[in-house]
Amino acid sequence: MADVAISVKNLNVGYISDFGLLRVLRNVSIDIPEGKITGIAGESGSGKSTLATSIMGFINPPMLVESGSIIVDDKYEILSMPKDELNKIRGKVISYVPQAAQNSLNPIRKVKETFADILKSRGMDYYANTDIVYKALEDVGLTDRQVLDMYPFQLSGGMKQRVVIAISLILNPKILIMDEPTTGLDVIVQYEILKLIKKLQKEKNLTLVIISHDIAMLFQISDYIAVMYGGQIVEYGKYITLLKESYHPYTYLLLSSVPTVSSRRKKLPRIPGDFEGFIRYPKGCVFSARCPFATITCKENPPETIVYDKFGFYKCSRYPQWRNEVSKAYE
Amino acid sequence: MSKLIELIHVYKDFIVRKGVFRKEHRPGIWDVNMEIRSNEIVGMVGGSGGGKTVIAWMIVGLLKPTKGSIMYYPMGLDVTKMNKKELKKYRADVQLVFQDPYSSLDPAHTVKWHIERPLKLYKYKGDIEERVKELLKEVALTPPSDFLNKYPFQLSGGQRQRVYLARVLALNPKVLIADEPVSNVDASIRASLLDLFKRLRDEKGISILYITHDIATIGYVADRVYVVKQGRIVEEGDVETVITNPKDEYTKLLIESVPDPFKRIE
Amino acid sequence: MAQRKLGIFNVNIRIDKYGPFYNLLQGIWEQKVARVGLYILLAIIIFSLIGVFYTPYNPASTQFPRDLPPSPQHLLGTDDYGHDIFSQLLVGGFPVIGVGLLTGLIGTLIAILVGVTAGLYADTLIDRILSGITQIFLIIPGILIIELIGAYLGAVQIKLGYLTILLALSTTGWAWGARVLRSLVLSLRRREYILSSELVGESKFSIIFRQIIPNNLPFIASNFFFTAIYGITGFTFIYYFGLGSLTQINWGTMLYWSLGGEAYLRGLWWWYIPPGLMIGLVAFSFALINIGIDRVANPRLRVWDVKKYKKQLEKIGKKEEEAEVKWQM
Repeated sequence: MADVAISVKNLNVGYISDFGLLRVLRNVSIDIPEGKITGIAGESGSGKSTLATSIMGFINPPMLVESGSIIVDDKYEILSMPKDELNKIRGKVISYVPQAAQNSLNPIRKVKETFADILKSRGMDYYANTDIVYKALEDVGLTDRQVLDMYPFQLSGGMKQRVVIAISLILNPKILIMDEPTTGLDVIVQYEILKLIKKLQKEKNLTLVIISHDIAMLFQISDYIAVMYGGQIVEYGKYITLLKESYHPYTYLLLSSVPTVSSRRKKLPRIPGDFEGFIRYPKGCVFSARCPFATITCKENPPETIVYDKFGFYKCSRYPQWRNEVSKAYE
Repeated sequence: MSKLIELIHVYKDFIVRKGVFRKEHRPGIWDVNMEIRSNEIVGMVGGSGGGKTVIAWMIVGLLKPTKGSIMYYPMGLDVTKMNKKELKKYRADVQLVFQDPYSSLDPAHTVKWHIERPLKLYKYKGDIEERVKELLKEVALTPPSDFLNKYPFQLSGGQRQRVYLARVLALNPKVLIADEPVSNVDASIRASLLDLFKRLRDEKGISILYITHDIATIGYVADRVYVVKQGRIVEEGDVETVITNPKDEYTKLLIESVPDPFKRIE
Repeated sequence: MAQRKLGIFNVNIRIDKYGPFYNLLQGIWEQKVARVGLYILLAIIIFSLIGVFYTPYNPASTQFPRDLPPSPQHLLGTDDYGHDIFSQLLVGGFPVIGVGLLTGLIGTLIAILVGVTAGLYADTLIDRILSGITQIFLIIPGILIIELIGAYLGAVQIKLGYLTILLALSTTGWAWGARVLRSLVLSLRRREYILSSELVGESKFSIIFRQIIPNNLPFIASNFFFTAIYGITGFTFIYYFGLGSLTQINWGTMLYWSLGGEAYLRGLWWWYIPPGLMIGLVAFSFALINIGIDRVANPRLRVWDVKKYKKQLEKIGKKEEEAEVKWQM
């Protein structure tokens, strides 16, 4: 039985705004398996980044955790740890690569100075630990050490992303969360980075959590995939299950609506409309307003969570009936 | 099908300063020959840094090529040699759609302002507010009154792209140069934006030069394609042929790299 | 403002008719720092306004006994010449504040015209000329030049009046703002929404006033107050060194006369402390407002109103102590 790297239970997170408390994450529970790649897919505004920052404990006003628990590595209860203890595990146990991380490299520091800063914050001297830095660079495929003497603007997007990944792994964390690691890169570089991520995960037996809106990309490398919509996880399971026959209509629609080379001449289904937002949160199923298979019951009553495995569940009351109505999505 | 825009032996060098007095010429675009014909969507595909945006900017006159000409046949003139008046007329016909929906709209102004301005600048005769609403309907932002007074920060990426398209359509262009219009938009919304492009070609006869690094979307929306690698065209032809039978190594690499949920990376 | 039930609360919906200007003002108001600054400024303005209509005695009159310490008849005592200091303080404010604010206004206008134009026409002749002029004015220490001119004119018995001082200060105080605005415009210039306006046919003039300025409002507002502080300081320096017309009564001349009368050596604190304090307070209020503007411009610097949170938290039933733990990062 696989171990659980991150256990999230009944998490409710919101933002305090002038409109009151905007609840974003609604009763989110998920167990992330150890030593595997888990992808979290969702459109913008689905709450995926909020989930990631909550797991890392980056909770600042106006963000507020209403209730719930997050347990990392079976021992760290993130939501009740004080700041200095959280800082101790960040980088060492669990590490985070934020969105557009390539742009967050300090533009006026050379790469080696950035490494030095990080090592210094852990009480380590750069010059005493160059072997760690060199190894980290080699691991990400940057064999030319001249990179260390360059400034970020001298590096290409792909190289910057590699540097950022190297930085996040330098203290050998067990768990790595990456938010949109390939957004902003062209397909060729993206392909290279994906291969790199896969290789690193295997070599170091990392638990990897990758967040992205690019569901096609997630299916290429993840072992498990969670699909988020409107602040809830609507489906979670092994990638192969979701690929062959997903339980939730949103998963199916997301997968089929992305243009691929093989589907180029086919008609693609649409997901009309936009998410109504967290202020006017829908009664009933969160996806019902845009679901081509929704009935009145769907719009009135929220569906039960049907758990079929330790790492598998879905929230749809019309499975398997909607499978017979698939053509509705193509109208 | 007639030729609308043609790039003939276009070169662009970039001058890089090395020190106070020395300058170095770096070749950017090298001998590019390209056509945009009426009633078509033609694709330009290649990795980033390959010069696609430079070509787009040269076509709309934001940059001048070092050598070569860009002919615009409906006016019978070379874009690189147009004077201010001719350029203004040209820009009513040929417009650019930018890549990043998060910086293509002015954060200090409403949707209504963005679409009104081109109408006012080109002296639209008629009810401006009505026309703004019509344009919003054309880009499927309905009901229009919901969007008129919204600021960009209140809109999603896909919505912003549509507002920008409405702004550009206000000029009744004949050609749209779309530079990576769907790259910064959620993957699931790309198809509907691309459908909008197809509709513009079919219903309004607008030709579109669709620039991207994702060859799958080219396969979805374009009729012909040019493959650009580091400032040169390495392959061209009709989309079906190029995708099913790629000749150049770079084209093959582009096809292989496109994310496909059924192509597992181990 | 309309009332609607949204989520858990009844809220007032702000109508965002005025866009960036309104947002800026509102943002500043919300920052306690800026509000304190505004209150101080307001208090001083009201104080000076009173002086327009009423002073206990004629501020120019020298009929009173000299060097009296503060007393009920003379709230701030009298000076060496027999003036009632409190009356002088009441009328001495407007010139200082007026010149300060006007310097800010004119200086900022010049900074916008020069800086934004230079930025838009970057790397052309116009830019080189404008940047060159900006450089020159940056290097010249404005106040020093004014003092040199004042001293020269003083030698021929011509003293600087308010208008002259205003002109001198605003023509020397715009350079820094112009420089920064040029860089801001350079960074905005290639932003897509500016390029888009060029492609759609907007004139450069329209782009400057409709787009660049509204998008840089926090900086421009901040520059206004910054230049105003320069105006006040410059004004004070000029009068302190006796280069201004000495028959005028303002806080600057009060300082000058107190210096001449060696008030600080003779312990006549009621003569030099009040005007100095008032000048300092005005400048201080401008600085506070500037801090507020900074925080609006850079949301990371914003100070969250913890009391407001606590109220909202109570409404959703959380205990305060639990909430404290959460914002430790």
